Amino acid sequence: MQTLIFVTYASTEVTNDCETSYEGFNVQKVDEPIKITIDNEKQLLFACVQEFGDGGNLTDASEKLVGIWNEVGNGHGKRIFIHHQFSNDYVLDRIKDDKIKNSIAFYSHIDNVWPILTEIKRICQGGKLEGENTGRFQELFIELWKLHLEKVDEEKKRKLSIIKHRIMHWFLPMDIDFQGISELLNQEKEDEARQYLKDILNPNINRNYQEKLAALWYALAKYQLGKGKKGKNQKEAKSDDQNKTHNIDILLNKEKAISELICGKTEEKVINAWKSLLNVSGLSYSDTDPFKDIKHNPEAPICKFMGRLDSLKKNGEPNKSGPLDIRGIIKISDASETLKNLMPNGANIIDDMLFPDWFCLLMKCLTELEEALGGVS
Amino acid sequence: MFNRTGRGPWWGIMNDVNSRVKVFPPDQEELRQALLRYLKYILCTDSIELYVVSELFADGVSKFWEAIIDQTIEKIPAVIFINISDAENQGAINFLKLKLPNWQTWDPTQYKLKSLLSHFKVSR
Repeated sequence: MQTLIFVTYASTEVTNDCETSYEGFNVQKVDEPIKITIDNEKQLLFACVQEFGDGGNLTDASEKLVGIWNEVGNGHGKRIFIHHQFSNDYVLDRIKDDKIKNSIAFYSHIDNVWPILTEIKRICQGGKLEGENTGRFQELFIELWKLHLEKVDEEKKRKLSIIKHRIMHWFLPMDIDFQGISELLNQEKEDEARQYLKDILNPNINRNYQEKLAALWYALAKYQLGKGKKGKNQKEAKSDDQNKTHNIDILLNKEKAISELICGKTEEKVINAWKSLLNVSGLSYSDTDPFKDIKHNPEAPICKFMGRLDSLKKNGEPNKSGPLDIRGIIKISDASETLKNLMPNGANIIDDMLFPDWFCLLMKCLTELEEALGGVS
Repeated sequence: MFNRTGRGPWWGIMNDVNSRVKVFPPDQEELRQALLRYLKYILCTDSIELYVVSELFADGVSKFWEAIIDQTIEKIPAVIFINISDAENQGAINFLKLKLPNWQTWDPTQYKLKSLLSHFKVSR
């Protein structure tokens, strides 16, 4: 049995007749779901949960939703459409059961679900389906069943886009700094470029480069560097952990990691885009499954680059006598050779990669993944 | 049209007032500091008035909007709106852009900061 569960905050979707605005089922009783079943194969269940409306209590609304889900019983294919007046994220945050959460799509009176649902309401006035409309109902049901998957993918794509923008903002200050240094070097102003680097690596600037990378890894795959690290006293370790968690919170902001959004996808272009993204970010993965055994690769060019900056900062190198090898420091060494062999999509990896080039490559990989995900719905 | 690898025409921006680089939302201090460094070393000035608004954070847009409504901003200097081409901006942005005299949208994945700044109007 396939069951489509519709939940709306608007009682008029139930009580209005099909000629009135906000076309409804013309059923006056709103406290019991409307159930329309055909051939014991397809069931449409339409429920009104007014708590999803303006001023409603979302926790109560979510509990009612879970109750409706459980009532349908196990062993069914179940998909949920919700019409509500909150942000989609607020609704999803309240649902703890992943199975239910992953079955939710949203609809409104201005999207492509609405006209199909309206036609169903028209042929099911009074909450009943007449025999001559069974065929049409079946067609509309199948259309909604497919549309649900598209809506879920749309939601994933939207979330991926949010994470991408957060990552962009996360690394933008570094991008600007290294654009500036590179600009001075292009003008052969090496002394000024060195001074610029000294300013960036000033110990008073609260920036830890490896932690920036670690936050990226968490946003990609919830991979946490140094979990269970030994050899530090507990207080120091706790403080470090709090700091890292803070950085991660800023970047991910309770969103799912990208791996959680795309896990289960098998399309080659999604997998290739995902592998490219991991490679650029300095993460390695299982040969047989790119969602397994994800861990950082200390030899990856970006890991070595970030580590070198932290080390220079920690050891006060920029303030020591003697000129810094500025051109060597700002280059992401070995990047061209290492990454050229690792990019399934054959990305154009430039020689002598600098941080702004890496930043653009990272964004390109995220965009490719976004496009790949958009194309498979 | 220029791209990230291109070089646009160049001019220095603008007022002889103390550095007033502001970012919206204000918690992006690291971004503000990076912009100040860039202006210091590349434009060789610390007396620039520049506002930077992230179109992607509702908080950033609303704080900028409030500053205009409350007239805590006396005159609108150059404004950079940061966005990526495929992103949906926050609602009030398009209206704001109609009202502002001197702004550019910056997609950091497409344009270098220097190329972007070169497209502002000169105001010395």
